[in-house]
Formats: sequence, C-alpha cells, structure tokens
Amino acid sequence: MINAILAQTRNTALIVGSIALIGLLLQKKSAKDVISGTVKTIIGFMIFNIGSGAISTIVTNFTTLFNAGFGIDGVTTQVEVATGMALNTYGTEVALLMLVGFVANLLIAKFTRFKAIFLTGQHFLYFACVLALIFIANNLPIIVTIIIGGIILGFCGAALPTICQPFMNKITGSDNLAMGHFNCIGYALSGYIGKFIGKFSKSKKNSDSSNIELPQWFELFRDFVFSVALFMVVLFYVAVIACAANGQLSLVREMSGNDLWFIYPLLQGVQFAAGMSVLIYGVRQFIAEITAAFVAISEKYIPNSKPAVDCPAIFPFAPTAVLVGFIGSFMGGLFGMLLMVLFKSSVIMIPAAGICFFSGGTCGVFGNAYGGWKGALFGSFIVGIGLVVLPLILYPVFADLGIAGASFPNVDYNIVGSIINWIFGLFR
Amino acid sequence: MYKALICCRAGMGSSMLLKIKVDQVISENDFKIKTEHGNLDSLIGFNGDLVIMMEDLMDELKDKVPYAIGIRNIMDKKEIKQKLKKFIAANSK
Repeated sequence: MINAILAQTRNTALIVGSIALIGLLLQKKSAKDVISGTVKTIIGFMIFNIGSGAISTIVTNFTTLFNAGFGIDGVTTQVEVATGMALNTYGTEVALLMLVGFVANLLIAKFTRFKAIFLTGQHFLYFACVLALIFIANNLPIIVTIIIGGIILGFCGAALPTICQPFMNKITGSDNLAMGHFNCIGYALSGYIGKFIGKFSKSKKNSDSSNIELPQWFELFRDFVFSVALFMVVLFYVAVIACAANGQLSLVREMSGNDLWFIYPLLQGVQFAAGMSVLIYGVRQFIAEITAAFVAISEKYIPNSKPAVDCPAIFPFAPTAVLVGFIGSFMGGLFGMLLMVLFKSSVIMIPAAGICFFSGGTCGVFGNAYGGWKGALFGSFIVGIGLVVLPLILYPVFADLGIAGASFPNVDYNIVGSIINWIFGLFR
Repeated sequence: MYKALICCRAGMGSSMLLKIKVDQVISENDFKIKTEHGNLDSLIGFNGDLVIMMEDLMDELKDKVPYAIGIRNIMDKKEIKQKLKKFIAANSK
C-alpha cells in the first residue's frame, strides 16, 4: 500500500496542486477559494499536458523530415516543447525542485542582499526542468536533485535579476521593477553593448529607436501564437523541400497520408500552433494561483524585496526597440545556424518565434537604453547567436535522457547549467 | 459589476502579474470590477466592458474593444488606480 501511495504522489498534476494549496492556505483564503484554486491548478496542468502531447507528435514529424532532407538533426529552440518532454518523464523531480526553489528564493531575498523575487512562473518552471535534468543526468540521488537544485534555482531567482538592475532603472525611470526572465546575463551584455555603441553616437536623440518607422506588417509578430504558426509552417516547408530535393519525397507522401504533400507542411505548422495555444493556456492556469501566492507572501514578509517581472513589462517603454530586437536576434539566430553548418555540427539549433520575440525583443530594449536603435540591433544580434549556439553544450546531456528534438535556449539556463554540469563532470 | 479582461501576447507572465496587481487595487478601493486574464485570442468573443493590457499593445487593440486601458509600469498601483477610476467615471450608468 505504501508503494502505491508513493507512486500516486509522483503525479505531477497533484504536486503542483499541492503547491497551490499550500500557497492558498498561507494566504488564509476562504474555503471556496482554496478548493477552486487548487482544482483549477491541477486542471491547468492537465491542460498543459494535452497541449504538450499534441505538440510532441508534430515535433517528431519535423525532426524526421529535417533529418531526411538535410542529413543532420534539426532541433527547435521552442522552450515549451522541451519543458513538456521533461515534465512527461521527470515531472516529480521538477515540481518538487521548483517548490524548494520558491522557498529558497524567499529566504535568500529575506536574508541576503539579493532581493529579487522571481515572479515569472513559467521561467522558474523551465529552469527547474534544466536543473533537474542536469542532476539526473549525473546520476545524483533524487533528494540531492530536489534540495540542492532547488537552492540553486532560488539563488538564481534572487540574484540574476540584480545584474540587470542598473539598466532596468534607466529603462523604466524608476527603481521598483526587476527583470524576471532567465536571459539576465544576455540582457546585461546587450545593455553594455548598447553603452559601448552609445559612446560613438553623435546625437543620442536621433538614434533612439522610437524615431524609426517599421513597416506595418511587423506588428503581426506581436501575436505570439501567430508568430509560432508562421515560423513552424516555414520550417516545415524548408524540411519538405529539402526532402523533395534529396529524393525523399516518398517519405513525405507516406507521412502526409491523405493530405497533399505540399499542403501537409502548412497543416502541420498550424497544428503545432494549435497545440501551443492549448499548452500556454494550461501553463497560464496552473501557475496563476502559485504566482499569486508567491506575490502575496513576498509582499507580506519581505517588504524590501524587488519584484522580478516578465519581460513584456518593459515593452511599453520602448516598443519599437522590441521589434528591432526581434529582427536582430532572428538574424543572430540565422548567423548562428550558419556557423553550426560551417563547423559541421551534427545538431543544428533552429531559432524559434517565441524566443526571438520575447528574449530578442528584450535585448533590443536593453541595447536601446544607452545605444539607441544601433545598440538594440547589435545587442540583440550578438545575444541571438548565443540563444541558438549555447544550447549545443547541454543538448547531448539532455538527448541521452530522452529530451531530443527540442531545447532550452535561454542564456542563463545554459551558462549556469553548463557550469554546474562541468563541475559534476570533475567528480566522475 | 464591470467585467474586465487583462491580456498580453502569450497570456502567461505579464498578464498574470498585471491581474494580480489590478486585483489588489480593486480590493483596496472597493471597485466593482471582476477580472479574468488571457492572451490576445481571449479577445475573440469577449463581451465585457473593459480590456487592460501593457501600453505597447494599445495601438493595435484600442479600436477593437469597448474601452481599453494601457499600463506603462506594471508595478505602479497609482497608475492602475487612476486609470480604473477614469474608466468607472466614464461608464457610470
């Protein structure tokens, strides 16, 4: 019976539900709110699983076609896909690590000079996946994974936003907002690149990105789901055309079944976006209560903490810089792909819509702060290269655990994760 | 009771935090507003009175909704309170 109960507790949906339950009870919410909040969180996680399942079939189709067409592995840098895979197999470890991470973040913010409270739930979740996978790949006992991994996560949540603070203050004009997005190392770099470029700018006013006009249709990329759909459709067509050129058309026909082979890529790309919609709806629902609890607890017990918020919070301060950053990071991603091809990497990382818009866009805002549009463009270009190239370091480790075809592109995951993995390697 | 939708592009990080902040302002000032949050797709078929978002989305959306509020600083409760009050004043029945 004990074994059966233990096996049941491994149900990740129930674990996140319990985290929400604890959070709601700590806030002394009414019984009705506690029950509905907990149930909604569990349902949200299950919705996430439905979306994730829908997406993983399509990703497999894509990697099969890409491999047939180009002879190498094409890996998408769409973080949600990799997260779905990680949670599918290692959900328990990730969820518990995340819980320890929340507690560690609060304690570190309370008792040390690193005062950021990381309020972007989904990024906390993704980093928890990365850390759990690294510990598991190095065969560490589950209790070490959860506790040490959780402490590292909490520390990163409290400390990494701090390196961006000087730029955040310049961007927002106040000191009450920190950056809760795990590309802090990249954003700071983009900011410094902007500062460097700013030294050569004759007139600061003229080079600020708010003075540039971008074509109207760029606005389309502000819609996340649409951008995802567009990227995937294009990628599928690239893979299918490569297959056709490589004499592999029969494979495409076989995979497309009743659909025409040249319509199949369109359908798959759009289907991917449909699955993504379900996935993010689920993520939104299951982290809602947990984030609300995190905010409430930090505001009550750690009044001098600095809320680290999701990157769109700074988009209103330089909306054109966001689009410049999107373009810059996409070009950086393409350049990174070119480097991978030239250096004959067996794995090619492909830039993804979400990453370019949110992470790239934020690099744009940071580069713009002191460097205008040139800073935005150059800063996001450089970090854009990092966003596709850095995941190469940890990819083999994750692929061995069954997380293949997708990767975790954000800069902080890869820099911190690679260092930790290297340290563990010294002991093997 | 007014119905408000708080939205952002992906519907995850910023709209959630914005909703938490807006809810705090609403309960502190006893405004009669009920909130939900989502991404841009949630606007389809939304039949409420008010849409709240980050200011940079305003340009695309303000003509498609009955009343739109764009917030510049997600943590600035004074800004949120001032804009909510303006909405209520403009819509008092």
